[in-house]
Amino acid sequence: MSLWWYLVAIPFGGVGAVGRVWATQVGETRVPGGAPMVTALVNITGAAAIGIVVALSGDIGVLVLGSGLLGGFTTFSTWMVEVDAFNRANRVREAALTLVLPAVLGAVAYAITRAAF
Amino acid sequence: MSYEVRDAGEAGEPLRHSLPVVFVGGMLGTAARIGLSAALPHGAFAWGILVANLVGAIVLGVLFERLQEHRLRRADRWALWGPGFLGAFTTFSALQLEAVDAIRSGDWQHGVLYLLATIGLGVPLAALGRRVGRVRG
Repeated sequence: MSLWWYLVAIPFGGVGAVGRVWATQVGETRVPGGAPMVTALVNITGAAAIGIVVALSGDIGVLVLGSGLLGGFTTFSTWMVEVDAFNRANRVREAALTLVLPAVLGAVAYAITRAAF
Repeated sequence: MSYEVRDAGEAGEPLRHSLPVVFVGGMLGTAARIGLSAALPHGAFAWGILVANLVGAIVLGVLFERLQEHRLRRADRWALWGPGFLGAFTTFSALQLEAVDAIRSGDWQHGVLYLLATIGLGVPLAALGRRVGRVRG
């Protein structure tokens, strides 16, 4: 694949990151569960979306929309720090749910869209 | 996590990130992740994504602790390196893709191990990052 497509993917990652931060800013005061719930929804949605991308597009689409847009949109580091924040506050049940639910639902979401499209 | 970031903002106001700054950080993080993925081998494990996610978890822990301690006084610096760079450097979609694709291809042990190892190491590394961020003053 041409190096140019790697360069094209990079601004898509910037757009994805903006989408995530915008969703968090809009959702944190409106969505029950606040910012960690928004992160979970962003991640599960992104996992479902990358299943569609992988199923329907070729290598260039996977690079630009998968590694670029959805790679920038979804995040692992914020998820981990949010789980740890619940843990530190001795909110063990929320920590466990925040860790396990996106892990399971994200895998299921990807598996479904990957197979369905 | 900005429900906690709010503590570092002014007078309890939510910290509003500058979206152009997030865009720049997101581009840098995406470029670093794609570069790392291309540089590291992709055999049974997608090492590039694993390393990006785990390094990102610990570094975000450091930055977040410093934000909490009011050491990252400039909100733009946090937006650039936190939600921007590290948010985009790490990824959830590729993690699930790698894990589930391994399971779909019949290699379920590697798929499950990949997912469990990433999140099993990610949480303690984020916690370690926060300790490091505090110690380093």
